[in-house]
Amino acid sequence: MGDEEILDHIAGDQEGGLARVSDKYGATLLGRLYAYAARRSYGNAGVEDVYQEILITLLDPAVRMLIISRGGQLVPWLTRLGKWRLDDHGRHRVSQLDSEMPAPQSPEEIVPPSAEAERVRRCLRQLAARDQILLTLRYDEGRREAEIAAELDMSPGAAKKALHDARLRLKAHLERDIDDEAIARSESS
Amino acid sequence: MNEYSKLDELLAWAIPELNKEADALDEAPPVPVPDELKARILQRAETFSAEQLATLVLEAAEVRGVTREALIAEAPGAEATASEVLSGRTDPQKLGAATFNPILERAGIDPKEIREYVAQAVAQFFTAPPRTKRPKLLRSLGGSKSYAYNVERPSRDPKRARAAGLSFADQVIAEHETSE
Repeated sequence: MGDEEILDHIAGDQEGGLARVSDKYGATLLGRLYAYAARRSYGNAGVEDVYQEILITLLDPAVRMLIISRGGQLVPWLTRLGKWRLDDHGRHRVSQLDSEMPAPQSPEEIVPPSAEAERVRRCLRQLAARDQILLTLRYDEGRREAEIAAELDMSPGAAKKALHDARLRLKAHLERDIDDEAIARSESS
Repeated sequence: MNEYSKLDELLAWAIPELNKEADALDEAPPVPVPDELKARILQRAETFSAEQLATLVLEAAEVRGVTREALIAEAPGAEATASEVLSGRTDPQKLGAATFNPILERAGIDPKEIREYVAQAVAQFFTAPPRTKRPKLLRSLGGSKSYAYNVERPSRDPKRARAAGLSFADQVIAEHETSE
């Protein structure tokens, strides 16, 4: 059964559809989530909850429509979403690595993001999922506004406005983050 | 360079950088899903769609300042069922399209916009009517009708469940269009 068939199945049989996703991709997804949590020192306490959350998102018809409009591949979508969720959960948690967690790749294989990119990550994760999707389509995948409109079944005008609004919201978060950092620096010095 | 294009430049560089780092972990070893976790997810899936529909309706109503009680009052004579539907515990079909539509209208919802959500909530409760079937052996022996028939356990047929859900959603849409 292909991914689009599984998504169709979910519309008529939610438990059966999610059972298929779990059977087909569960181990891959869970492995990736544990590795990501280990890499970012989030600990493994929230990984199963995040796995549950991302599978449950497939029960939302709007999410399934979006996945289909972006090619219908489940694993890339669920992996990306899972990492976002882990970032959300991990932001407030300081924990030690569990020795039983799958080993992350060796550090030299992964170049850590710069401080500026980390700031964008922090602020991006504070936006609504819809804004995150819009900005990722635009800046990660290089889609033009017209393409985003077609993918998300919006008018070109609506896509342009949504993108504009998402950028403004992100800009406000970035400015606040910079201010907070400056205040923290002046207080510590 | 204006402020907007500076932000564009930052995003165009930072977002792919973040995703590149995340994607580098995609060759991680698989980890089997514990049975208990899978069971927990399926248990949540069992009730999710009707609850999601109820939440959509209640949130839309709240934005307009319409209370849950006011929505229930749109279903005179079927208040208990309406209350159950708005708690996500009952199939919206039990209200009937003619009663469900006024609830949506009061909440300010055009049923066309939530067609898929209504269909899925109905599908959640769908079980195929039991089919009667004569076992082959008895059929070939010409066994008496009373012994030759058995009843299959109710099953979830996703295609029939979806068709039933869409059919009800379309009835609600038709009601809405008639009432306009």
